Amino acid sequence: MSVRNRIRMRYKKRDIVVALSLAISMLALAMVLNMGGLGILPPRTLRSLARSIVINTYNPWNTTLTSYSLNAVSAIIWDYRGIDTIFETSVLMAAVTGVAIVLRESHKGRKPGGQGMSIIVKSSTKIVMLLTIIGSLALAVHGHLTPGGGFQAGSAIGATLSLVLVALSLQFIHRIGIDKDTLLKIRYTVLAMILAVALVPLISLVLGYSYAYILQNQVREGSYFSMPSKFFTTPLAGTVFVFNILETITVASAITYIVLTVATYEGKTEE
Amino acid sequence: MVLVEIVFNVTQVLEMVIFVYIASMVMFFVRILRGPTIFDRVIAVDALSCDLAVFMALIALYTGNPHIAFPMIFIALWAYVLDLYVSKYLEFRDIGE
Amino acid sequence: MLIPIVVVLVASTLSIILAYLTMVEKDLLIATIYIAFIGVLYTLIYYILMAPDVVLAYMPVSSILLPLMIVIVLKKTKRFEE
Repeated sequence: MSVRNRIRMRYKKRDIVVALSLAISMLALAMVLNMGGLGILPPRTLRSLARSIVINTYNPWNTTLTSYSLNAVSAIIWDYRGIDTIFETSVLMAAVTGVAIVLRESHKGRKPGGQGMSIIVKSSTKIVMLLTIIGSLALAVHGHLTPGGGFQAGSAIGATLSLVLVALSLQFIHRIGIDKDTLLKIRYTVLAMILAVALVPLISLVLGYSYAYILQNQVREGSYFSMPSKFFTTPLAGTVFVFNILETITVASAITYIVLTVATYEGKTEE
Repeated sequence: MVLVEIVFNVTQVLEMVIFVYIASMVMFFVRILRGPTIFDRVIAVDALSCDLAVFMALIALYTGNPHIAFPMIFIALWAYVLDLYVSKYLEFRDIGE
Repeated sequence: MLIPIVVVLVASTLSIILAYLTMVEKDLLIATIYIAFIGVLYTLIYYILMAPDVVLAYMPVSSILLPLMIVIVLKKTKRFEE
């Protein structure tokens, strides 16, 4: 009898019944939609839009309709819909600027100290940090051949640096040389470099070599300008490769800056 | 002497094993609802992450597509992160100390 | 074709039940553990639907950055609600 008194359920019966009925009604709605009960659904075979995307992203027989990258997702993000990615990068820049303005420190007196967690945690975190940085560099450099790309590698590095902030202490971060001002400077410099790479085809237009467009990757109809497209024998899409590497650095510094500001903010608290 | 020989395909064995993994996922879910202390729930999340890393390799073997199994590395590395946060909350005075 | 449908059905049902129980919970540290569990189930669904780029972009956010932000906010305010 005493065992039954100790293991008591922390939820009433009403909560579990409501949760189960919510799950069953969602599943029933999904099944009804799947069988076409609520209208016209897209067909299950390959649609014409998907077919044209697969044909146009790697097409070595027709050199005016291709970008030489085997990863279709990277080619769509950086080459065919490049202006959407520029707007998404500016959204992240607005978020970083908002955090920098709202969470300004009211006083600079910060007491030093801190030792971090125990020695087992520190050793395993150092191994994890090293392996993650190597894996992220592999993701960034091979972004046009395998699944991966710039944003994925950058967010992995940023997440690892915030894990180092928790396991080892804040003193370790300052001892490496990572400061909040340094991170902001790195981020804005690399953003300016991305804009410069996007405007490189205009040089060809100004010098009179050939007609060119902004964000142009390979040869198009009516213009002979093209970024490098092969690295001895492997395909290397020109702007996709350069944008992946630059995006890694800028996203990593943005995420580390946000976590560092939120964790070390000292303001007035109301009791 | 005649020995009985049972021949299985690789795909049939994998189909049987995947149902075992789905059953273990439901058991982790029961543990996260029922654990008396907070550390039992944290262990259920960690065990599901390690289980998912092996499951990714099995699906890559089943469909014959080796390029999709790359996230397996990262989820096996980051399975222990929730333990750090819970213990840092309960023991220390400040995040980043 | 049987295996993707069964895995997606089981993972979706478990995540909907947990999402309701997160709302009713009074101890907010346990609610963040539920959120991390839901994140791992979503990673499984994205992987079964054959989208490795989405998995690689979702994993650092849902397993490292989101619980960290909630734990920082809980440290500066209170743990039990009402």
